[in-house]
Amino acid sequence: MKKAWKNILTTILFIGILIALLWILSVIFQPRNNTSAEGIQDEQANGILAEPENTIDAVILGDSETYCGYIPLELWRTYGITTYVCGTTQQKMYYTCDFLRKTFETQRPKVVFLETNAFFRDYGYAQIITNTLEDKLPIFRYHDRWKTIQTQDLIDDVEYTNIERDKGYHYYTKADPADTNGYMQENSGKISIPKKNLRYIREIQKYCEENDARLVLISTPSTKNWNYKKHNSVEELAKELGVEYIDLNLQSDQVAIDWNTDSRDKGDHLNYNGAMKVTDYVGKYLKETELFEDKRENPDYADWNTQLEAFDQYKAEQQEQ
Amino acid sequence: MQLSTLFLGGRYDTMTSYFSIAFLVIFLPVCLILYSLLPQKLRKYFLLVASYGFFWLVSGKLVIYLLLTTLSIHYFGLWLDRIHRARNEAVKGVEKAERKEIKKRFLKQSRWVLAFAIVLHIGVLLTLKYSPFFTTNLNAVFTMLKLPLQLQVPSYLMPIGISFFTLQAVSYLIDVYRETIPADDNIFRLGLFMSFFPQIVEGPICRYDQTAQQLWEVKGIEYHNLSLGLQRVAFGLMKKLVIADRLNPLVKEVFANYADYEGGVIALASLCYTIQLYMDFSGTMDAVMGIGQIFGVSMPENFKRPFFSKTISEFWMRWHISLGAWFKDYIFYPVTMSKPMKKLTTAARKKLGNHFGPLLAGAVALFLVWLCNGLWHGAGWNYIFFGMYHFGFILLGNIAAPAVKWLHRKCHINPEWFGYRVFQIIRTGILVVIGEMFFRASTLQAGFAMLRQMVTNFRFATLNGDLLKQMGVDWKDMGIVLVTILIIFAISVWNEKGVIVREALAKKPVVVRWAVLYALILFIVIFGAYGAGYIPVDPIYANF
Repeated sequence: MKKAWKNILTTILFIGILIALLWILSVIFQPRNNTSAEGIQDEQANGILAEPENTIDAVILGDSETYCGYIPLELWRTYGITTYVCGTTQQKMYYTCDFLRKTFETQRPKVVFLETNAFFRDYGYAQIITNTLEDKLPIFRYHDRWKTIQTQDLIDDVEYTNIERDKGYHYYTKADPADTNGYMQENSGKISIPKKNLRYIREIQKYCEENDARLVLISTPSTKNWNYKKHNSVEELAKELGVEYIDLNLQSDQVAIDWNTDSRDKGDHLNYNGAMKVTDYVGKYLKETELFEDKRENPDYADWNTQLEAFDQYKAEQQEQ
Repeated sequence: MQLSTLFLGGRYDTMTSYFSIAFLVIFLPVCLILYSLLPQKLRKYFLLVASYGFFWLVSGKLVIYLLLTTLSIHYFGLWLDRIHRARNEAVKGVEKAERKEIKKRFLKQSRWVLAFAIVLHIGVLLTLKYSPFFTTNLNAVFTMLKLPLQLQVPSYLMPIGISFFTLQAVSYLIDVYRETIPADDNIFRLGLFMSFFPQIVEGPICRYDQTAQQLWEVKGIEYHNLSLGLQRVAFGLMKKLVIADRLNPLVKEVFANYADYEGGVIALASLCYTIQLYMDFSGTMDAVMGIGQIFGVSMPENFKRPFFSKTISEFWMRWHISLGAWFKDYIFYPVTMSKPMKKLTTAARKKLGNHFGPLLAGAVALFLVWLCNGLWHGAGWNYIFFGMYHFGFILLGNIAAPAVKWLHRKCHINPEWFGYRVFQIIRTGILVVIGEMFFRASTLQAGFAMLRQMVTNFRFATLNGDLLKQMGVDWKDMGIVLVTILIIFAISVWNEKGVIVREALAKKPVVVRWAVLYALILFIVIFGAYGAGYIPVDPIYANF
């Protein structure tokens, strides 16, 4: 018995020292800036880390539907409202939750748009464990920095300075028409949202409530990813949570997507044309909330004008090519 | 809700690798905890349930193949046993001459039963694994002969590890037939022997007398076994994550687009593939052995430092040992010891002498072994060529043995001289790398095209940082792979000298022991090819 206790204590001590070593390595390997060269992942979405504190009015969270569908600089141009798209490819709900948590560390957005496509994306607990491990001990996420790490990293503090010009939006103009056959045909059925995701959605709602932010569920137009059954499920969930739900797939009178010209990949995602229409709707919505003042003339936000100019110049260059 | 969905998000294949998070962080710890909590008498049953659970998580409803195979060999085993008992009864008190006749009659009976059982089990394997290959080739023959006939190429879902557990099943039946083991009347013990989850995906191919009883008598987890077992799993993890997975982009790129690369680069990619295959498979075996050790189960080793081999023949005695031993015991010996082959040997011995005479029958058996070995790895001409390639070198080695000895004498070469042994090791290594190149090539034609490039354009002129980048790696990747190989090489040299490093380490002071273990773990954490930017590589041998 005495030997068994000794073995247990030895094991605990061994694991304890191991965790301490991993923690020290995590501090060393943590990227010093939010650039991919420094090892940060999802550089564009993580650009929000470098935005000056408490300057973002609204954030848009979700998968690729978000960074293809919402243009923060157009919202700035028209309404002077500051938004950021924290969208990543194939985003899972646990990662969405992480982004919101990170956002609230430095920002106080009054509106949080939660794109609904990722609600239906399932994954295993193994992925959640991996993500949690990477969050708690970032060495597991940034271990590949061994290739670039320098002695200076042992001294430097973490300082995020890389402000993303497009605020998370991915510019793309090419059109690939979509087949709209059967798209949003009325149906009373439902597709169940995985329980794991429901837990994260509730957590996101809790974060929003704690930070006085309005949570809005939003479905971006997509002939490939969206249908009436998903709409029904999200609508029911929104009612249950007591949050607003906007399904832009059913707002063709206000968001008149032309599926011949407004999709980049056969209805999977929107291109710039489609994103402009969606952004216009979102802009009007945000204005109607009367939560935001127009900051275009505010010298503290002068950088946004500079970035808008750069964005326009980039667009012009792209159109020339 | 399906359990697989709960754990793996509906992706059955997520846990195929023993190094996956799903296995290492969820399945294995849950198993170990439940196993420890259960009373001793239930532990073996728990292992059986866990093994079937694992199989089901990986292969879903295809678990039925494993279940039916087990039920079938249980039945056939008992049938054979009944024949043996009936024979023993029948010969009691009978004259010697008559006894021989009776035995012959019963032998014929049991031979039929065995043949039927083997045809059944190998037939299932052939149908699932090879019928698409045979049908495709048959259609090609029809086209060549301009016959207006085309068969539909079948496509089947294959359960994980079928090539492994089928051989295990056949070995059980043959051993019962040969009366080297008694038939097992306990279906659960036989079931556990067939399904033990650490070995079901990639082997080793165990014999009934090696593991069945051990598994049935498993005891509680001991600290010593847990510690040494986990160390071995970590060592396997290093091989897999730091070397095999890191080399994967390079191997994948060059083998897919070999026409774009000069011969030297193709040779480098072939070498990298051989290293990748070894690290992947032997790393997995380390994990298998390690997990087995945690449960107190010792399985036969599958690798014995193959790259120290001086001949191809020796290489195959050190690489995938359990498969080689299976072919030796169940194909090579039965063929060479068969009546026609014995006759052939006697006749050949008279004409060709004592060295070359027995080689003839041996060559026939060897040919069959290597044909089966090639086909076992996959249904493709490149696999058959791979088998014939090794058959050719082993046969050549046997034929040329007297000539080589003569040459040694004439040239005053001491075969035990260190320099000569190094030469032999390098020569064998080169032949193995070329063989593995054909093994990995998408087709046999691709393999020959790569070999042609290697021979006619053996240059490294284009090999620079940009080219490596194009191949998905950089100098730092290659550097860390080299460092890790050197570490493994040093450990292998120790092992070759008879030192078991883990046990030697266990005798050191705790500070040294823990420092080494922390170094190993942190080395894997930092230099492992995992996470964003890396695609986890499926265990290579799980596909065979």
